[in-house]
Amino acid sequence: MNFLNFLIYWAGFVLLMIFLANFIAPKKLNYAENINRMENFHRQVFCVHCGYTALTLLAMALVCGFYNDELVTAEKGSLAWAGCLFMAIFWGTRVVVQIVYYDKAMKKRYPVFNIMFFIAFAYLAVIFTFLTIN
Amino acid sequence: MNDYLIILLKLAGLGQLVLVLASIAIPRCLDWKGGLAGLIPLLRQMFWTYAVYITLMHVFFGVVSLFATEELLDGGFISTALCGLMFIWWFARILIQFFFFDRTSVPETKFNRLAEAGLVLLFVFLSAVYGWGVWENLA
Repeated sequence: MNFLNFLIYWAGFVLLMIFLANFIAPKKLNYAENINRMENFHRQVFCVHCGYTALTLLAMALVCGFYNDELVTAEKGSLAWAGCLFMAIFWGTRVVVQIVYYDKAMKKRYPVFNIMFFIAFAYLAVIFTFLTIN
Repeated sequence: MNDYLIILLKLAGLGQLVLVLASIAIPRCLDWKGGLAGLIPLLRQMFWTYAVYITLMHVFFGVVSLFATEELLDGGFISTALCGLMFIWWFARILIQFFFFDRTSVPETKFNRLAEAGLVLLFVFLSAVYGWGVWENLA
């Protein structure tokens, strides 16, 4: 296993942690009370969005864990390369969303979480961008 | 390689890109702005962020199906996994439509009924095509 394989395994671990954070966030951010203010249908759409986001994170984590070599050796234009490009865009834009879009008051209230998420998103963006251009 | 499946995968890709374009109208049709008004800002922002990233997934599925069709059926690990993910994604969406969503709160207009029928047909088509793709990759 070379260093790049190790970095991708680590990316898989980071993705798994973000996936697990999706199960902690509802309690921390008091989802239940908040989403109860919404109409039933909008509440359900929110839950479906959360579910699909979790599925996306899990799929990415599994790819990094089980298809590690395919990502390292991906040739430009291949399916694995397209996956790396997609994940580079996904996490690159997620860094920007974290900095400029998410509620500043909440980031001040939870500075450690904010920094942890920022580092995690930035790490994923760098890794997948490197795999895309390498 | 199955020529019919290649054509169906390309159609599936096109269908998902059309769905992405149609998704632009969903927030207005379902009054997301009004529906989210009572939420704290962070949850509202998360709702929109999740919606955009799910749409981005649909763009990825659409582009890959349309332009990397043969690679999707090469029998490799990545192609099988990706077909599997897209099958799970769309099959789950059918189950959500019928067993999770409370459709009674959506206005009973002719447009909404037609839109729902179109969406369900698309989800069934996508599930069938990607399910076949998984089967073909494993065969």
